[in-house]
Amino acid sequence: MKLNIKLFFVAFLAFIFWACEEDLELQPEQDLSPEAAFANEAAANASLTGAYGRILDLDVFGAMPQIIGDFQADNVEFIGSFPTLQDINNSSVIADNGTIRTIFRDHYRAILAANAVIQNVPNVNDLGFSEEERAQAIAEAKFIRAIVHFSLVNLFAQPYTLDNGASPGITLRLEGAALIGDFPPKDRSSVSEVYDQIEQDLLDAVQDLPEVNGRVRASTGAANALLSRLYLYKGDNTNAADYAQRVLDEGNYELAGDYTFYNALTPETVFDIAMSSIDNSRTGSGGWASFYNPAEDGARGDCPFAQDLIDAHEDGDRRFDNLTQVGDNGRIYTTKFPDVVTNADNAPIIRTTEVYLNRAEALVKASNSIQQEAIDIVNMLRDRAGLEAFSASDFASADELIATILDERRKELAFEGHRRMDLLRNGESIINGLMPGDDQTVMPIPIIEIDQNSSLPQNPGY
Amino acid sequence: MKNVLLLFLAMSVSVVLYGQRTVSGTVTNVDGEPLIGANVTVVGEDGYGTITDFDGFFELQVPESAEMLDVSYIGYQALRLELGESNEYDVTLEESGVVMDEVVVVAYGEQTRRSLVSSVSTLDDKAVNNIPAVSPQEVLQGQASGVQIVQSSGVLGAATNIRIRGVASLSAGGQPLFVVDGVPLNDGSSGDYSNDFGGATTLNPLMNISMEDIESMSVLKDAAATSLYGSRGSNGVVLINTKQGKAGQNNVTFNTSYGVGGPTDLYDMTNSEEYYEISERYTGDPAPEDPNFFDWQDAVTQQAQAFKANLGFDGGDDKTRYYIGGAYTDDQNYIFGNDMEKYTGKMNLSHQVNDNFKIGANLSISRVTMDRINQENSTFAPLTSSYLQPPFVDAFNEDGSYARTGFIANVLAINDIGLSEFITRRTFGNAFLNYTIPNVGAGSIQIRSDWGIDEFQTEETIRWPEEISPGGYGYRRVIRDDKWLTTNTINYSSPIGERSNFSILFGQSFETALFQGTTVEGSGFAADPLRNVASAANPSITSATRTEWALASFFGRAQYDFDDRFFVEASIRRDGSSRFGPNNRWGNFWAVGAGWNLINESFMQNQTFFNELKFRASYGLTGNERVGNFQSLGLFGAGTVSDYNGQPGLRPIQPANPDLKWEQTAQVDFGVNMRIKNFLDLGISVWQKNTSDLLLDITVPESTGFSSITRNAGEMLNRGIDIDYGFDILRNSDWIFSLGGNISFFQNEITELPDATVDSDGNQFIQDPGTASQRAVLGRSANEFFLIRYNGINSETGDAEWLTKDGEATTSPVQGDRVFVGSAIPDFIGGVNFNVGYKGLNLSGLFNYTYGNLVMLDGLRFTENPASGFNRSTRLLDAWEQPGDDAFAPGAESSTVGTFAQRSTNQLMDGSFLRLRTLTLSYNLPVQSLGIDWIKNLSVYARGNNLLTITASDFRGQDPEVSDSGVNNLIQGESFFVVPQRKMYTFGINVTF
Repeated sequence: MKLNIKLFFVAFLAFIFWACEEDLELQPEQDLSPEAAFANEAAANASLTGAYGRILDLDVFGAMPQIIGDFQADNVEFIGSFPTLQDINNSSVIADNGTIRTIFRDHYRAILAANAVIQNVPNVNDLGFSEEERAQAIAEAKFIRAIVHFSLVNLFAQPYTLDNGASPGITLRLEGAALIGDFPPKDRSSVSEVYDQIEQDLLDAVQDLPEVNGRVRASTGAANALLSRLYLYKGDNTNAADYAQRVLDEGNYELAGDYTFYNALTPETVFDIAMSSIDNSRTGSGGWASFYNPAEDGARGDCPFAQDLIDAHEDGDRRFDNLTQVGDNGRIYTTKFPDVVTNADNAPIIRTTEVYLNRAEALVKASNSIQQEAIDIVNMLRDRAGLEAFSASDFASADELIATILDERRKELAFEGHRRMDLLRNGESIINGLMPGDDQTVMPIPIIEIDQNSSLPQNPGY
Repeated sequence: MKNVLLLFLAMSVSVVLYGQRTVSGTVTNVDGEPLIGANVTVVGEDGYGTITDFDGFFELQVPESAEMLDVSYIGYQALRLELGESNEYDVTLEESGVVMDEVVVVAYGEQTRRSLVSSVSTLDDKAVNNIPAVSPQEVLQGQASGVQIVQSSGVLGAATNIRIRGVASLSAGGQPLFVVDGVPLNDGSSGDYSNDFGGATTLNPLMNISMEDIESMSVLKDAAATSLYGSRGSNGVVLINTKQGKAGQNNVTFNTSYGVGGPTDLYDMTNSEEYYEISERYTGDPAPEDPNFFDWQDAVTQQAQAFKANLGFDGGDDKTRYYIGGAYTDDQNYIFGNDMEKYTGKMNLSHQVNDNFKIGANLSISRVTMDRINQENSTFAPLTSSYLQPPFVDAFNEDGSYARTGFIANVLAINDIGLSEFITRRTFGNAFLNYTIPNVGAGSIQIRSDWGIDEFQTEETIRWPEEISPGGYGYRRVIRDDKWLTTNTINYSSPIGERSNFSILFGQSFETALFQGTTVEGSGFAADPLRNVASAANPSITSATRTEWALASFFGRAQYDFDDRFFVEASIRRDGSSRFGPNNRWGNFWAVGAGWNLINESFMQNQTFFNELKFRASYGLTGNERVGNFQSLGLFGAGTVSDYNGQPGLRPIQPANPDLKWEQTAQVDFGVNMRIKNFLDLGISVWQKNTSDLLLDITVPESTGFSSITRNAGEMLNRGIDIDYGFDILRNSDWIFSLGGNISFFQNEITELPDATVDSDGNQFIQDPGTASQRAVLGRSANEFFLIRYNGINSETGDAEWLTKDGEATTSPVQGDRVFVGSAIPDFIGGVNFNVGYKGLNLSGLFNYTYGNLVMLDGLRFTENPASGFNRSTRLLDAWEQPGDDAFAPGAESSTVGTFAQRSTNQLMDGSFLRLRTLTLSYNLPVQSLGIDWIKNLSVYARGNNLLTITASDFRGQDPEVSDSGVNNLIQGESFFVVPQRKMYTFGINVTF
């Protein structure tokens, strides 16, 4: 009897310790660990794709910051009901504005996704992943990081030209420490420091980017075009003109013959954000088509033409005749983003037209004289619009020519998010008489960010 | 031969002369069940006694001089039987009502209340079935001290929020663990069981349990009771035991009932004339002549009807016991679009193979089909839309077809021609082997191996035809949560000497659950009869997901008692969970408890005041591991958001926290149980819980790319007093009158909240994004309302006024004027039950009450808004007209008309209430005396539920018992048109053959 008990005990104890430790090491199935996200070339490329996926977001390049770029200027009259956007429209923004917070947050999410790629791609353990491919992936991520930092500094900081970049800029994030649960507080860099970092990222990226990459991903043309925009905003006109020329010299980019190029990947497109019916930026809060189409079409109808913009168009301007519609409310809306139903319109971020305009403006500013090449560029655009050409004698001074270039720029790039910075960097006022340097000209750092780091300086007036 | 006969004659004569006879009979309880092993002894004569056998039958030689027999049985009142001429006596014993004799089911075992050192509340079969509850949580309301139950909504199948001894957690799950026959049930901690289409709250995961199958429920409250559940014991544990059948009988039970009912209360809304009267006052637009009026409230409500029937077979002999039962419920709520049909079946079987070896299995299957209301906080929900839809909007066009009613959808159309079906199926049960090794030392060893499963599946189908959603819309989601577990224990128990007992238990358990979900959604159907998403031209969701969880545990318990006076107990459990970070995979939880049964002390023998007196104390550690399955890992997510240009993508979604672990609660409990003068039973427990390592979503700078990380930080304190009382006022063979109840006081305070947001006054707090009214605040409770104070309508000016932070009256308050105005947590809660009976007639009832909590009725910001286009409450008719008026709504010219309905204490009111939850009048037909011996028991009853609710004088909502965020710890006591509880009148018959 005793022997039986002993045997039973031993067997039972063995049975008890049968549960293995490995059974507790379970992994999620819809998500991957950071190691798995960079385990091989395919995963690393998917992580890079994810960074693009992040900039497709409504609050990055999905229209929200871009409509601010037009209605806080003189292109759009905002008639929507969103209280947070109305505050921006009325220049009565407060630091806990929900839309501003979301824009801030989603930009930095994209930066983290890009940093994850930059940080981890060199260590991917896959022999099939060549050095060139790795360098390209890092270059594309740096492009994303640069364009997102640029979008942030434009919205949250005063223009470079105000004080040579001395104003407080934004917090630069250049590492992915957050992935491992490390959240070091970081101060805001100055505007010039931010510009320097963006410039560095783009110059690095140009080395390893391909010339052709489908027009919806980073390419040398996109990087050079963004550099020309950066230099132009900075006031470095020689470089601005130079880099614009580099883009045009590639031979991949040409002005379209008419205005049917929207939402098609033609040589007019330098860099678009690709949207599709199942993967686009539209949410209940908005989207390109949602903001810019009238309510009766199933959109929000928030952003019709401002009267000032209507008046700026001469009679017969095809940009007005071919690209507008009248809503039931009597207002005029653009037709650049017509797909209200499936929201598959691509978002235009960099176009050949802009590159030409960068060059024209930079040439005149750099030499402070009337440049024929600049006039030729203007005339190409006016010809496409069905308007008369200018000649050198039409301009009494370089400033008049610059004004005309800016005017054409306004009409060409309307509703694409450029106007606000085009006014501010030239010392002009935007909505409600705000000048560069005024408090409500720039957005506040979200209060929740200041709460986390009490030494982080807030923009004055908030 | 003659000598033998003569001897025999002499002996029998001597027997007659010396007065011995044989007395026999049966001993049963009031339900006719035989009591096995009851003692039958002769009074006054030693040496004459016996016990009853498996049929309750006894046979005893008694001396002729014997006049009385004592019949007794544990748990029952002893009976003194007068012996007369007859030699046959059938004795019925009444339950003793002595609380200490109660057998209490505890973790991995059973104890009598007398030997219990931990704090446990129990509900027996009668307490469970007296409430026509849909699920076990409802039954606990008012019937167990320290247990706060809030019915979050009157929607059938809505989850119930339970808090055992205070608020358990902030960010992790706060519900207790439910264990049925030793199987901890799946409770939705791996994933959501229902999506947002269902009622305001999530689905009640325990809805599939049939109440008729329940034998008893135990609520384990303190650490000594729950530490054997280790990392899941912090929130308390509810043990449910199902009927097993009793030896020596075979019963067939049939119960059926039918009830009708309606809402306890609804808002009083204006009709079209009143609506236009209000419009005219504030806008000056004249009211139209003879406006159209459609009574939406009337259209969406109907009579509630509930029909139930169940049939059960139970019984057994000395080797085998069984219970087989099936139940059917057909319930239609008083709001359309909320019906439920429930089928359940149960089979419990156990068999004693030989003296040492016992096997058994319990199995339960169920299927519940529901037609579910849309989310209550939505214009698609019937009752909500009836409060928002203006009364002049008609549901029908001239030609009788359904009208398009604009922003607020035509819920009549959706209910009539749309499909919204929700089916849940559950199969759970366990099988066990029990091997007893007797005669090991002075005691025995019991080895038990138990295997259990819980398979839960829900299917949700929604289909809206062309008329509701152009092009048609279809949706289907199927989820499964499958659990299996094994528990193996070895228990040695033995008396030591004559006065002590000792037992020790070792156990091991492994539990794992797999959650899988499949969702498809699409639009663009060629025709309405095409029901399924396969026919949709535009699929918008195609998703299949899977997630898994596992828990491995070792546990042990030792108990020692001495002389029936001193009891000591210690337990320990070691849990390893897949949910915790790799640095903290395993945790240890332990508890000690002691009890002192004073009543058996020598110095207590001569007093008659106390019949029972016992002190107990316990201290221990338990945990809460209800975090997501993978919250400690750094994660990159796939899916559409990560994709770009048709390529699959991955993006960072969660930062890593390898140190993540469970929340830990240290609890101390002191209690005393007493019975005074055979009249009053009183139990008092004083307890305190310190929860540390609270799981919090700590905000991090958003410039890092994340918004928050889950960390163990934060501490919270709960303390309180639980009192259970019972008065045994009258108990004899004809009359019974008893009164009992419980009351629980508790306080909750957050003692540490690191890295929380700080407001302008320096208060640290956490606020769930789903609420704009309440916060969890350091130094205050987890549910503090933070609002602008409303000061009423100024009788001189007709303006609405609020108070600034400093207490000055103002007509234009700002967000900075918000102050702390009270908590959603009550000061005390409790219940009272009474039972009056005369022979077979019985009247019993249960009141439950809660006091000191506030509720926020968000919906009033819409219905009491004179400036909105939504429907209006009739209260707005009481508007200010001239100086000196005391009115509810502002004057027509006031500047505050547009801001009158802003969020403030105007919508916050006292949620205290007293409710008559159940009142039952029943009659037990005296079938025995009528000579119908094939029926053992027949009773009929009439029952009312929620008949009477007494609320605070300023309460103007529908139902004070409301919490539309269900089980969310950070949002309690808020309502946006939550469906109120219902009043029911039910008639039923119970018969046992």
